Amino acid sequence: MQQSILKRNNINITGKGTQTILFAPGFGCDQNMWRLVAPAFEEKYRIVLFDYVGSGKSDYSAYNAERYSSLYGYSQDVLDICAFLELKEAIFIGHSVGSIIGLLASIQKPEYFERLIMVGPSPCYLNEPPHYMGGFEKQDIKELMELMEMNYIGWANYLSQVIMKNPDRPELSKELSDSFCSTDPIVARQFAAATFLSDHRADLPKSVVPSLIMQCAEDAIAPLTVGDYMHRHLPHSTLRLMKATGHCPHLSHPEETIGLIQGYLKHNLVVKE
Amino acid sequence: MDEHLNHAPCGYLTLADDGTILTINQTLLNLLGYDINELRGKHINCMMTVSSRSFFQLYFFPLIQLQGTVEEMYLPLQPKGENPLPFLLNALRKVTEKGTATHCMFTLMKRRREYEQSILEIKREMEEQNRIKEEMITELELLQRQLEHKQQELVEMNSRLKVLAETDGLTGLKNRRSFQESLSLNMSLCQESSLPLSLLLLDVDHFKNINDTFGHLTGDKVLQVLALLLKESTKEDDVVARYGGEEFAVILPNADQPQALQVGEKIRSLAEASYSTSPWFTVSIGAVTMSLEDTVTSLQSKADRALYSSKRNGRNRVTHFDFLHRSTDPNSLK
Repeated sequence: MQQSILKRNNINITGKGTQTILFAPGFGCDQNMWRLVAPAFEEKYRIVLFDYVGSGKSDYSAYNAERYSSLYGYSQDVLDICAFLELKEAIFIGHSVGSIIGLLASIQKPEYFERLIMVGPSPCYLNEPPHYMGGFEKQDIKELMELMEMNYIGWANYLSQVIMKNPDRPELSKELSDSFCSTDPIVARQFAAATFLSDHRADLPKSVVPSLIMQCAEDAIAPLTVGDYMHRHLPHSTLRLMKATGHCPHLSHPEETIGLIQGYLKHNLVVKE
Repeated sequence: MDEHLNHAPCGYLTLADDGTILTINQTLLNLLGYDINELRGKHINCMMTVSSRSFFQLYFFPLIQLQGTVEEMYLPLQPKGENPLPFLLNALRKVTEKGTATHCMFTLMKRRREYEQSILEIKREMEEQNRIKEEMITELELLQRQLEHKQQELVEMNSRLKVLAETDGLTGLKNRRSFQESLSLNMSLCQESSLPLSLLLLDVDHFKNINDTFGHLTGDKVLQVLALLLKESTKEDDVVARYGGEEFAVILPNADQPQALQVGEKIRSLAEASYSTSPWFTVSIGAVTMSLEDTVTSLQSKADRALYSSKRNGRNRVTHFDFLHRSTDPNSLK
């Protein structure tokens, strides 16, 4: 069981420190997304990288449509990893939906986490006028899923599988292992639904672990107003606006990202309630 | 910008790492209906739909940063005041002394998109059909299981009915009809295998008196005691049946004349000794052992004559048919 968690979530551990930083990727990509940021922390921390089941080099056979139909399934994966590595007071750094997954995990087992660092988080992507503007209408999400479908590199293979009913897709698994940004189309569609149709606004006040919200400029996925909403509803949270634009500051502006994280880690924490 | 590139038959632009548009060719400006001054220095987000913006950030951006190239990415762009146009995007990120720029080629793919949409539509229909098929199969399997269950119930009910149809309600022994079938079957089997077969007919002596004296419930009790006693005195392959009223029959396959007499005598003596559980009663028994020419009818008739002889000779005795004609008395055993 334990060995299988290592394999299931493709866990990679580096770093020389004792306190652990757990890096969680966002939607659509795998642990490679942290390659410009994570090495900066190797000297002082123990670094744990992982992939969600169904993406990167995770064990696709462990995918379970029911378990991963909501973000709770993914947060259970995070808890499994914490339990397996016997983490205590770890620093969780999550990108995008990864930060919400970490937040849900921390609400369930606060003892695993010392603090959360959230890069571009959003508790709810859908607009709910007039009080909440997540940035998306249902139609936008539908179009996004269509775009994913149109761009899925293996969909010709997938199509032939659906029509030919051929369960073995060796070419496909090869392609998947070559590209860190693709996932199985079914998994990707369900993850997209679990992510973009989720609403975890009610979970925010339940948080007890101190957190940093890193908000980018011009982020089409998590706009400023969402970062602001997060900060207002998340207890013990700090909001930092970044010069970085877009949704992936850890790729586009690694120095600024690293600097902000280091600055926050130097701070003493508000005592947990 | 090079004139050829500016008017090339495809859209072209360069992006800074933060997504700012550095240069854009006239072809793309024409397709999107913009003037160069409206786009230069702006973020590429401004020429995309909400969904393509998100897709761009989720997929294009990480890929170009980590891999340096993006090939054949389908991405709709948003022209000024019109419906989105579908493009195929190829991109290359170049790092030079002057700085870093991502070169993007946009090829319009209206017709190609129609094809792909049709194929995806077929795919969706196939998925839907597969789903419906699987649902139907599941339902059929459920019906199949229900049917099998019902059939099982029917088989069990039939076997219960068969037992009921063959059983005498009061004594739990086989009834007359079932006895006739068993006799016929056992006679054929024994004849085929050249084995002997004997038949005993029994009658409770003075049964009418028992009923008159002690009542019918006690009479019934006597019959039940006798039934139990018959089962105990016979082997598993023997057939014990209630012949009618206070008459009983026992088929003894593979039993010759001495064995028949032995079983008969055992029954007679046990009945005589059974007064601890019911009013004292005795039985008269007629025995017969099958000969070659015997039929079901002749065998019963012979047993009946032997039984009659036992009655006539004072009851509470066993008479074998073979001894009937030699003399009157010594044939009966007391």
